Amino acid sequence: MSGRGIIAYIFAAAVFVAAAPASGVVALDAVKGAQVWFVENHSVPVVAMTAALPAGSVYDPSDKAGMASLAAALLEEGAGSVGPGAFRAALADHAIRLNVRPGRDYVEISLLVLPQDAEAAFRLLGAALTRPRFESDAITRQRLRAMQIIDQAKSDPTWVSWNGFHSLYFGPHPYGHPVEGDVQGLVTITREDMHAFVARHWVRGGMKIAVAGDVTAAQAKILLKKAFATLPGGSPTPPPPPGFVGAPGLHVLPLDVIQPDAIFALPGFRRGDPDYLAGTIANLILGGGENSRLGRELRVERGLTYDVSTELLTYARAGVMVGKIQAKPKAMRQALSVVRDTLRKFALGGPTAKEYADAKLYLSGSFPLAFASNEGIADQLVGLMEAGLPAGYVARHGRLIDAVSYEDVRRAARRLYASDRITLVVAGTLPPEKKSSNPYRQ
Amino acid sequence: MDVKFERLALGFVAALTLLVSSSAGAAEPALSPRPFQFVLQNGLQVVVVPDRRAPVVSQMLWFKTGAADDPPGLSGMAHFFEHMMFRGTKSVPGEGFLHAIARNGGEANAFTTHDTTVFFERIAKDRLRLAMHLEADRMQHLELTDAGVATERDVVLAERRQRIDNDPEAEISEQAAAALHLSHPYGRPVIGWADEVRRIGRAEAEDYYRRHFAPNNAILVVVGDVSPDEVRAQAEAEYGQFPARELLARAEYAQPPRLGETRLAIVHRNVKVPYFLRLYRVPSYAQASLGRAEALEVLAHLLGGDHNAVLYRRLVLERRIATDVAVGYDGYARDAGVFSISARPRPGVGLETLERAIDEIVGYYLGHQPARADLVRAKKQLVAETVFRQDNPFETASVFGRTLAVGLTVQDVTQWPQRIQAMSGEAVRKAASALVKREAVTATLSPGR
Repeated sequence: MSGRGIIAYIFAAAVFVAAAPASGVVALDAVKGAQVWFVENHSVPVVAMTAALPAGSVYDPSDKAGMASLAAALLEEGAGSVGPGAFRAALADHAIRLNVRPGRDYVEISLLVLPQDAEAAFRLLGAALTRPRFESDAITRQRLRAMQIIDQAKSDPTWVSWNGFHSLYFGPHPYGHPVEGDVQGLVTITREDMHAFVARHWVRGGMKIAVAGDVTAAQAKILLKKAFATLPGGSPTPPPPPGFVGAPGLHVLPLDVIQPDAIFALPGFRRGDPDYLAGTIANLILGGGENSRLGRELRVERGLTYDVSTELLTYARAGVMVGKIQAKPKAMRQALSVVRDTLRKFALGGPTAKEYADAKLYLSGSFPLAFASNEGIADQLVGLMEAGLPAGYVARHGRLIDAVSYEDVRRAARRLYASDRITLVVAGTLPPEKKSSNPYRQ
Repeated sequence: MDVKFERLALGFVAALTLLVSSSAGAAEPALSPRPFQFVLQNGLQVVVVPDRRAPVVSQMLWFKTGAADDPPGLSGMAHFFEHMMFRGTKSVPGEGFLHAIARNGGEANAFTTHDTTVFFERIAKDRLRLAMHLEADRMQHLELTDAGVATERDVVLAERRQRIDNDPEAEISEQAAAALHLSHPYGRPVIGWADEVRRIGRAEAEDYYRRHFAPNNAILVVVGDVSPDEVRAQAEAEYGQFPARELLARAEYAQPPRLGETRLAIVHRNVKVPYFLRLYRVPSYAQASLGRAEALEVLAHLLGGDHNAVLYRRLVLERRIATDVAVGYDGYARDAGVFSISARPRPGVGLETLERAIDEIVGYYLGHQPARADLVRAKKQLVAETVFRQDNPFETASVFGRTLAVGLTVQDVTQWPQRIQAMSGEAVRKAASALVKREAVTATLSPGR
């Protein structure tokens, strides 16, 4: 191919047929009540597992925010007759990478391990889940660390704006408090509270598990049984969806920082919304992509920010269109006004034909990239399960994106961005609003 | 979203290596897809690691220039220039680069360190040629405008405020690194001092480009579903068409002797949790005698690599004077490496108490070998990490790039696990002798106005 040929190739509307990634996804019947997907691949000697338990912060008791997170942090603090020190040593002896990520709906747990240590890894995880010790010393240790993290985060404008937005947008609903909880909640949590919480939430029912790597299906089943079979059945009832949501208007959460962070939010789509995929295309064009409209207007053209982006947050019981931006205090009002103009213009005019075509090419073409490692495969598959999709979705994603029409995206953009009831949350300090601009100030 | 990041001087960087050389004949056969290596006529070094699991490739282009090459008074130039590389050429103007990558289902980004400037793409394997074409084009034909330079300066200043000025722990890392390296440019932040970033103009940026961006100053690493022959043919067609150029030699800076410990106490209005940071200037992989950097790697891991490591056990679990502790060795540098220890005290415990306990434990290892169980465990974990990284094509590419970019070889990557495996307790003890106060900066962060 000559250089000129390539240039033509860059600018021609490339027809892109992406290969389906991780094509060998199979559902396993390994843990009663749980959904399990499996991908076998023996070319690199690792076993990756990700599991999502219905144990996120949405289930925190109302006066004990931080319960879900604290329980998750205690996973490294021993099990059964094995104390905190010995448990950590066992993880290290087998070079087990155990990663715990608490979220609002789920807590995600992942393992990455060499095949010869997989048995130990799943056994240790199983013990930690089914026979937690919750020693008072360990609870104190993890509680103090959690309280420090929250304490320090209170002067971090990124954390304050994100959690301030949740609080304003969801109000008293349990989506409204930080995943990490709050100091008042953390101090009241007792050992009995922890046992009661995990009995209801560290359960097989509603659990999503994916295993990928150097292991056969038969071996994977044995490993999974080791970790999860003796967990209680049943699954918790999530709280009802939030009723009225949103807090239209500008909210300033004062912080003495050099540069404020801001969140802008509007009601979004739930994952089951028929316009959801069209919405992801609209989002990519507006603020989700490498060269989105917001990026162009605010960063490339005006240099107002380093980073502006939007996403469609899909919690199990709520969907939100949420954007983030940072700008220096003097520039923040201008930045937010450009954001609002850009949203309005997109809602009214929809995407250009080229934006629509390019966004679809990106979304179908980039899908396989996340499946390049076993760890990535396990994470992606659990994400799809959390979204309520079937195993066959992996192979169908490209075609489904392809089937979204221009009119679908236009409608989705209108539904997402037309409202003027935008919630704006700024963490930092803004100079007072001026009626007329002062020519001597920048 | 187009995040441009830079390594901060304080790198909690775990060992980065992955492949067991097939020629070394070690006992771990399945661990090693073979790296292939060749050099184009114009001097571009190429490393290819086939990985057939998914129909995708990772391309990384490592330029052997970084913040250490920032011109006097213009710190931040290398990082700023990394941003400018996304602002268009004659044939791919404006945002065309990212646009072309995205509409072909790919992702692209870049980062800058003191020694390197790195651009990378992840994309379907049949689009590798496109990614090469775009990289080769901007290596040779970048077009800067005054307006583009002015706007991007504001972007970088916003990035600096976000990453450093809003984060007291990032600020203290920057200050401690500045103190550690004395007049050596590793003491200047990669992102630059704001007042100097503001002075970067188009002419200076163009100079920097001409002096450092050429095929003979770069390493191409491709990992993914391709053969070495395919990569060679495509690389010759795209990168091979540009001749080698005479480059400005990198200035060789002295690493002035440190005659004593530097202490730095920052009191900050936005600090709620006190923080202890110790940096030691230690030999890097490029400087150290064979095995010494690997020994520092083992030492860092066994002291503070995870929640079972010595410092965590002693300070957090047993003595209960800390809530968190971490140790890292950042050895992938052309000049000095950095060994770092950081910790947060339990509420009510003074930073002095914490520091005394840390010094006591670290001091022990200057005179004693580590316990056998700790040594065995650390080695097992570090070797396992190399396999875990092998699971990730991008990390595989990163390891080869960062190793070759500081003057080491492919063998240094492939033999790394055996070197770790062979490490004796005595070698670790000897390496610990680098952790002396004369080579240290001790920095503390405390709440206040």
